[in-house]
Amino acid sequence: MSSYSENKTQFKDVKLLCAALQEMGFNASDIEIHSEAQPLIGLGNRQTHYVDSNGDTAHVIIRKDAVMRVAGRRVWNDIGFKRDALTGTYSAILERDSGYTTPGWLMKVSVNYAKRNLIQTAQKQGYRLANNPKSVNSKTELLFVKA
Amino acid sequence: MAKMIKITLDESDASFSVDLTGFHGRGCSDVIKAFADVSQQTKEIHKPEFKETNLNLQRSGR
Repeated sequence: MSSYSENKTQFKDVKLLCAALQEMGFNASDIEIHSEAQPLIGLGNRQTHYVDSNGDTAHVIIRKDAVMRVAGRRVWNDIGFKRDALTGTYSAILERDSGYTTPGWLMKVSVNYAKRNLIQTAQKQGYRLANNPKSVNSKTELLFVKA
Repeated sequence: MAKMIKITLDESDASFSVDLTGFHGRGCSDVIKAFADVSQQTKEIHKPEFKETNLNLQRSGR
């Protein structure tokens, strides 16, 4: 028996989300993007019903085979991100059992997403990145100057 | 003075702070507003001069 957890995020831009997931080791081809939410598959190749009694679904999906490849361990469920129709934000639907998609994993995705979102926002404001951002003591500095 | 934006991203909670140099008056709030849309977890840091520039637009941002 495996299980999912649903986690609200601030992710709104699917391109930034995909880039953030690629930074976690996934290939672009590992990431399915659907305009209509599609079933999440679990144990026995059946749709799961952990967070939705009608069946778990998501708009951005990484199938368990790809998760296993990147995680280097056995996992039983797909990773999903489901878009909220009202807010446009995605909820991460993650399995708990494999020990791979932990809250720490989702935080890394959030940091990757935030970094890319900040750079994109600065560029839209007419600024360019002027340093090579590196993590020091769990903090990353991004320096922007007028382009 | 050249305008510069320094953003410090905290990897513990994906929050960030924005530090502006060389901005005057409304330019500061425009930039802060743009970045505020990035995340609800945004923390804002203004140099003391930011408050002064709001009172006196003739003064430098730093």
